[in-house]
Amino acid sequence: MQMPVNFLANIGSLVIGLLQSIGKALFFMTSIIIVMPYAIKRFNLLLKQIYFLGVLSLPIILTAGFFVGMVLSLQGYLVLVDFNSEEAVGSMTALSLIRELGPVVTGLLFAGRAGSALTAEIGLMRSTEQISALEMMAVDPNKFVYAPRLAASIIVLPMLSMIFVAVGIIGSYLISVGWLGVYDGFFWTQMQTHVDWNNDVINGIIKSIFFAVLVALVSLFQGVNAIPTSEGVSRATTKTVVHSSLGILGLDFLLTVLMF
Amino acid sequence: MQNKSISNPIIEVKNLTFSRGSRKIFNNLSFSIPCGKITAIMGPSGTGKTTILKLIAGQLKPDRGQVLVKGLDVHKLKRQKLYELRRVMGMLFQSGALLTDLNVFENVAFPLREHTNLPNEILSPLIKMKLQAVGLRGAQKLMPAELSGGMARRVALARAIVLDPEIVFYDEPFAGQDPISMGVLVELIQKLNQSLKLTSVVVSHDVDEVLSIAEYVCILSEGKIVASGTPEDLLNSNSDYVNQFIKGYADGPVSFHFPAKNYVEDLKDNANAS
Ligand SMILES: Nc1ncnc2c1ncn2[C@@H]1O[C@H](COP(=O)(O)OP(=O)(O)OP(=O)(O)O)[C@@H](O)[C@H]1O
Ligand SMILES: [Mg+2]
Repeated sequence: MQMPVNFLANIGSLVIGLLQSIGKALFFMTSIIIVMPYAIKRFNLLLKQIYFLGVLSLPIILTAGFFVGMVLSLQGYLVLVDFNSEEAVGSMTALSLIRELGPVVTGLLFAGRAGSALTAEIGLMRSTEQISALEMMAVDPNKFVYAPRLAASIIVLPMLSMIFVAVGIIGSYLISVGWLGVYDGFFWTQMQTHVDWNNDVINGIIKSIFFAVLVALVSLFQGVNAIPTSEGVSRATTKTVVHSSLGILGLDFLLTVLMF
Repeated sequence: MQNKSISNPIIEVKNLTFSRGSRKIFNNLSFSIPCGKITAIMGPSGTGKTTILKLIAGQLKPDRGQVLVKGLDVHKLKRQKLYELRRVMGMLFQSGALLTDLNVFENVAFPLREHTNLPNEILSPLIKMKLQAVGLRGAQKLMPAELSGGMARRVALARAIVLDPEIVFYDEPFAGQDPISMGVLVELIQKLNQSLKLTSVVVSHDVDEVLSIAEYVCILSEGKIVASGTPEDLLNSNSDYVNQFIKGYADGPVSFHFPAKNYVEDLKDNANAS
């Protein structure tokens, strides 16, 4: 008799806990989104975050994009050459980059590079009472700290994603045209005919905007709710990377089903 | 030695109950802080002096009871009204809490930059004056990570008073200060209080320094006000609490120890376990 009751009680408290944290997350989200206009008014704060989140993420995005583009066309070529259609390698690479790999891989890298940094920064700001000090100086952390970071993520991630795609296509060009001997003209015309601006490029950008919101909110939320100790902050950082990566993959599936 | 009623309180704490987890930090706490005076809050480490300041400033929410600052119930205020109220409060955090990405000068300038539109020609001398007052004008280019604990706290003090608030909370302003800067800070707090007519709330363990400037003292222990009054009242008090606290005896009604089970039992437990 005791066992099932305990079991039910455990499930109950789990569900309540889950609902509570979802409620907390939603409340946090709306309180930041409400003050988003402020992020644009304080342009210098925004610029600083764009630098930290965007410019400093460039090296990893450039490297990753280049290699992903090269590997994709190597693999694609090996398959396509059996069907004598190796000139399609350009359009194949471009489509997979624009529709999926660009937004998703950039999102994952962004979560690892910038999201984790955001969580650690906010967590430390809280544990050193900097957030409390801001509140005491009548400066709303929502406006001063969180909103600029969310806005910067939304601006930066689509750009990073497009850069990733562009560099990936260059990598693909070098491999397929420069090394494997695909005819230059076919490589580009195939790409031009198969890639559609609205269906592919715009949808890819929309995906990365969703991912930016996801990563930024998860990172900020984890930072704000981190236990203010070094151990708590390090655990929150890990959570940020895991949760936002899984979130990106899940969200990507949903968006792909809806879009294509 | 009960709380003699204060004629014009600026802060009133009424029947406040606050818990951390299952531990009740305050149980039905009530006291007032007079307007325009220096009030000292003293008490053993870990009784909740920092906590009470945060409750007064509206950073923590009580389980029950209310806090009135200038007649406004802090915990019932809308976010915007609360932020308006905070503009007239300055707080020196125990940890300093400087913004780590700004240098000393910018840290002190921060509240002014956020809340006023002063041009740099006016702002800069103002900041330098405040830094001069805490003896750190020479350190204005340093980053917070390059300061010692005592220096950081003095910068934080300069920042707390830069907006000329009506109420200033000093959480342990003297901790980690050498005798010279301690003297300077004591004098500074007193001067500010007189010249700007502000209300100062000083939390400190430095009994002599505090009693020398405070006009009103509350001693907090185990979630209650155990004594309050003027420094003379307390020095002449025949209460065991007060005597123990002011003279620093280890034995007495105030426990030096965090609540724990019996010492001998605890040691025995270890012996049994091993
Ligand atoms: N974030 C927290 N979570 C849980 N308990 C806390 C937290 N902060 C403080 N406490 C507890 O609340 C009590 C009061 O803490 P507080 O910092 O107010 O003490 P204090 O009087 O300022 O001490 P000190 O003189 O050492 O600064 C302490 O016993 C501490 O254990
Ligand atoms: Mg304290």
